[in-house]
Amino acid sequence: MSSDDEDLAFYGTPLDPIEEDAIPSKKPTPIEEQEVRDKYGRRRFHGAFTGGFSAGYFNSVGSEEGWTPSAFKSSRSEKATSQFQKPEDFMDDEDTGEFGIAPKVLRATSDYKQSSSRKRHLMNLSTGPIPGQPVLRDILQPAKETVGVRLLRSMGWRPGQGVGPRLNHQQKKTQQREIRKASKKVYGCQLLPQNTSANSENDSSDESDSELKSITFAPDDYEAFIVKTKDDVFGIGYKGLDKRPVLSKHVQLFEPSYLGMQEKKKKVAIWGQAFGVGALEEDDEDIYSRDDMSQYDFALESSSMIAQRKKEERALEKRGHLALTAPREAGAPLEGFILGKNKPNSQRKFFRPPDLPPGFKAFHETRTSRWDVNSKGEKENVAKKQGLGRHDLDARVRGSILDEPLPKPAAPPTSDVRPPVPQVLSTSLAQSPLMASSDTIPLAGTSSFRPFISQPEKQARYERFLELTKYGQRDLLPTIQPASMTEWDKEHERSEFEQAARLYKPLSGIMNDRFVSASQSDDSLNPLIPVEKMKHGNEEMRNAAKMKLFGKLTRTRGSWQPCALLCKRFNVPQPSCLPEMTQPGQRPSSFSVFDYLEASSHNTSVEVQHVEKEDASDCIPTVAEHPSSSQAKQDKPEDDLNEGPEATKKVHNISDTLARLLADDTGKEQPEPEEKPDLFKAIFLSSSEDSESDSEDDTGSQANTALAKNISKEDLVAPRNLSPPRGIFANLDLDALNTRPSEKQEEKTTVSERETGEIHHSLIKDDAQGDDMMYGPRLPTATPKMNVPSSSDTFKSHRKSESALWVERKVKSENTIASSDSDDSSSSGSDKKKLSKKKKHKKEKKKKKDKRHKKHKSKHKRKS
Amino acid sequence: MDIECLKTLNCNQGAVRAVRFNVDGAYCLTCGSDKKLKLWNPYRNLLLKTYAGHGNEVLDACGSCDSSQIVSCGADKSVIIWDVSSGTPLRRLRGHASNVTCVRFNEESSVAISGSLDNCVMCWDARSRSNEPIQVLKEAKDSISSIQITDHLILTGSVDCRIRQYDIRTGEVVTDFAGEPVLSACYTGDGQCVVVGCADDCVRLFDKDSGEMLGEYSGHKIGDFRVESGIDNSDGFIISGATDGFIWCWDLVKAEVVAKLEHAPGTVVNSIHSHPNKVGLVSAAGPTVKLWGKPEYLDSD
Repeated sequence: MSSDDEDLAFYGTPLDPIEEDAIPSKKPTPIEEQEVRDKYGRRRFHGAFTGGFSAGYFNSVGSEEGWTPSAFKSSRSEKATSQFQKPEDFMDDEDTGEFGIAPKVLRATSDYKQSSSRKRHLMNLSTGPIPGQPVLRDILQPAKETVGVRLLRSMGWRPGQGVGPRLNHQQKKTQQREIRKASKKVYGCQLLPQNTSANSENDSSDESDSELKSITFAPDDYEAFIVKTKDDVFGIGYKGLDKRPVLSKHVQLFEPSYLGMQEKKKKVAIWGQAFGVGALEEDDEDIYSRDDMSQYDFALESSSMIAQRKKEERALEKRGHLALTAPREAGAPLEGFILGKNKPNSQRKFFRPPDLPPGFKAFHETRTSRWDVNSKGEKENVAKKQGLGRHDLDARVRGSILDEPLPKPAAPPTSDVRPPVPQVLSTSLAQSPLMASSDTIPLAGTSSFRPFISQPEKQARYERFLELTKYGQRDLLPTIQPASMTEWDKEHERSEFEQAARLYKPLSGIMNDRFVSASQSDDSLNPLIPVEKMKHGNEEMRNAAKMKLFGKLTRTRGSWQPCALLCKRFNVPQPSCLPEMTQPGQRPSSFSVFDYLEASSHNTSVEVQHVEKEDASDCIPTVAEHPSSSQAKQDKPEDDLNEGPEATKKVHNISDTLARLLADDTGKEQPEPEEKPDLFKAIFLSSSEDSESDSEDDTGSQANTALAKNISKEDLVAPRNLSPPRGIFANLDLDALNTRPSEKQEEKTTVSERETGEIHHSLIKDDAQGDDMMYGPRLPTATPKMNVPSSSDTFKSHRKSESALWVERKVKSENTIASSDSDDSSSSGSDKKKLSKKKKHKKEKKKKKDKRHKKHKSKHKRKS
Repeated sequence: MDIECLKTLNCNQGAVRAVRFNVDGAYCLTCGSDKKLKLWNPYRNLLLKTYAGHGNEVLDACGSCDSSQIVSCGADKSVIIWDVSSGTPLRRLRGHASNVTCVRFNEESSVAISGSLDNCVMCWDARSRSNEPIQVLKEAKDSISSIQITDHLILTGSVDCRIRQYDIRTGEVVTDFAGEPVLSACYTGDGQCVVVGCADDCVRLFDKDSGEMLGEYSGHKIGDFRVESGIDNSDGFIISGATDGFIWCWDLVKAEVVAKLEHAPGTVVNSIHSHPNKVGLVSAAGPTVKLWGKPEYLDSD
């Protein structure tokens, strides 16, 4: 290929490559970009699209308005002469130019232009099918005037003259008169021709006749009278409301409006066209109102006088009316009138109002509830009656309504009814003193409602029936019923009573068991009412706090996961790693209110606590082995919120009992678990400090060794995380790691240990031979083979056993080296700065405090 | 407790919600209900700077270890880190859902930890420019009333009657039930005990490690107010504000009232803070702040 290129020969100089910009765009300029320019090349039109009219300063004349204002002339000398402004004053030279609005060039008017243009026309040959001058142009010329006009003109007519034979003076005058007459509108009957006036005219014109006879005049032109067809049904001369919308029309303010409104004593007269005021609105004050004579009084009469006069008129009218209606009494009718044949239909027919039903009350009594006894009604016997309407009617009442003869008073009054009541009932009534007078006092249950009160006898029977039911002797009802009642009536009444007894029980009867009275008063909605304080903690804790038994009972331990950054900022190694939590991306990206509303049980920390519980149960044996397993007891999650599964609780109970048994051996002394020493202290502090911190570190390493023992057990017990590795473990070959457990163990122990490894080293050697009393970790070689667990669970248990071991060491240290101030390091952990200065002082103080603590504790024990 | 009132500052910023010494006790900060935070030299009764920028009452403040920054919190739900010299807010941390009641720097002033009425404790990185908390502690079931931070412990007192000690080293949180809503909680100078001001007119001393109660100090009344209590620098006296306008001082061991410092009878002494190095304190009641100590302090400063 390259050889081919070399073979090619180039001739001439190559052109410069054409740049894109150099190629002219072939696009025609769009309409919106085309501009109209005047003869000077200035822009002609200025519109809204280009920012508004700007003719003034920019390209026409020297004023803002766009025209040259008429120069100031002192009008002092010509005050009297009125000044006019012509339209031309507001025009510029373009307007007055040849193509402007008001050209000032002299030229022929359009009349002459066409026919009498002297100029030779340029022969514009048509490009159409017919060559030469266009034929049709000559044939079809636009008409300037009608044929009639042209004819008239040729006959000598001039515009402005009338059409017709020429008239002399006399004739013309009569014609003018007629025209004037014709322009007057006359409705109704034609008046008689006015002969007199015609005569007088003839007389007056006689004198000049002789002179003017020879002169003839063209007749006057007059407007042809165009007759409009009447296309509406209005009265003559009436213009109704315009159908067109009001605003579409030119509003003539100063012409009488077609709408008017006049109020005259209840009579409202409306006329004309509405504008601006709705039908129901009150009219504004009519500012265009014209005075009318009708609005003036024509007599000096007061309104009272007018009223009197009207009365008189009315009286007269009445008399006249009477005269009409009673012609015989008033005499013959007036002259020219005859009596009407039809009588005026003046008599109105009145209908009787409907008969009201008996007992109808014209007012309505409202009752607040169905069971409400109307207190007003109780005063009046009649009004008192209540109950259902169907109970109201009695046989007697029904009879009276139907106008039946009254039945014999067979039913004796209630007093007579009593004897047939059997002895059983009376004895039962006698037993209860309240019930003895039950016929006068209504029963407790029915006091609020008496359905048959309109019939006192029936009501009394009902009440007795209720009594009977109360004593379970419902069957005795027929004995108290009057003998006059038929069997069917009795049975009916019985069912009525039963129904009433069932229905009309007061609320306390049926409904009582369905409703519960409010536990909170209605004030619960009132924000000012003091709210009951929320109770925190569980019962056990509260009791303990009340008895001032703080400590084990009130303390709960949980775990939390300080995030990596927090640990970094605090210069503290991260305690243990849960892979999910240490991932930096885990932080919530946004906060919402719902984060706070979230139930605490969803918190990861609580989940972690659950995990820990299981771990704690896993490492029971280790914990139990140690004498100070009261620590383990403390580890028991006592928080009411940490409700673990039942299974773990059981395990805890076992461990607790174990721990308690063992705790008795160690005595009541509560060992103080010590904090882990600070890294900085371990490295940077003085040698005296070092020895202390070393001892601390030893505990940690000791814990590790102990852990190492336990791990093999734990590995069997602890649930292994079988899920595929995630996060930072994703790429780790865990199996490979497991094959080298001893090395891995080194790594997995705390970072602090690694850092301070050199310090340990000598100690470790001592430890290797040593017994349990010795400090420091054992040699790594001494650790049994173990698998490093991949799950986080073991880390947890790791930590747990660690703390347990710490306790152990502490106890031992106290037992063995009681005089050592190993406490001090832990106490001073908080304040590095003060440490060196205050050390001695602190030691003393600490001792004091320990004494104090013991004192307090003993006090509490005594109390409890 | 032989201290006397050295100076009275009329802060002129509404009610003083909190008064705090700076790290070495040379200056003090007052948090006003007029949304202002003021920096004072209390020994000379000198107003040094006013920090305006909170949207509502300032509720607590804390100076950094090098006194170059101040962190304050307020009822506007925000935590603000101020530049001391310029008086401008460096960072405005919004994350709490309600009033932020207390805020503290850690020892290196690299983290500000705030507690709020929304039951959350939030840890803010003072060094990064992130506006999100680096961690939120949601263990509390009621609002956080006080926070104290040591080198590896975060102590929070909460109205859910509990004090919580978050140990960053071990990743453990120790919760002690105090029986009554906790209004203030602080470590003693030796870090072995926790002084807890409870809402039942009682200050309690708990052992940090065992959680047992070592002492009870009562006699004063705090009513429904949020009254702070604490311990003086010598670890000899428990001090507490009260509604009677006195600062009550108890002997730590005997639990007897040894002194009642009269601040302003009739007002509520709601905030006290003991001097970090010397025996002395500042107290706030209503609009006034008083400096208490020995007369020689005035000469030295």
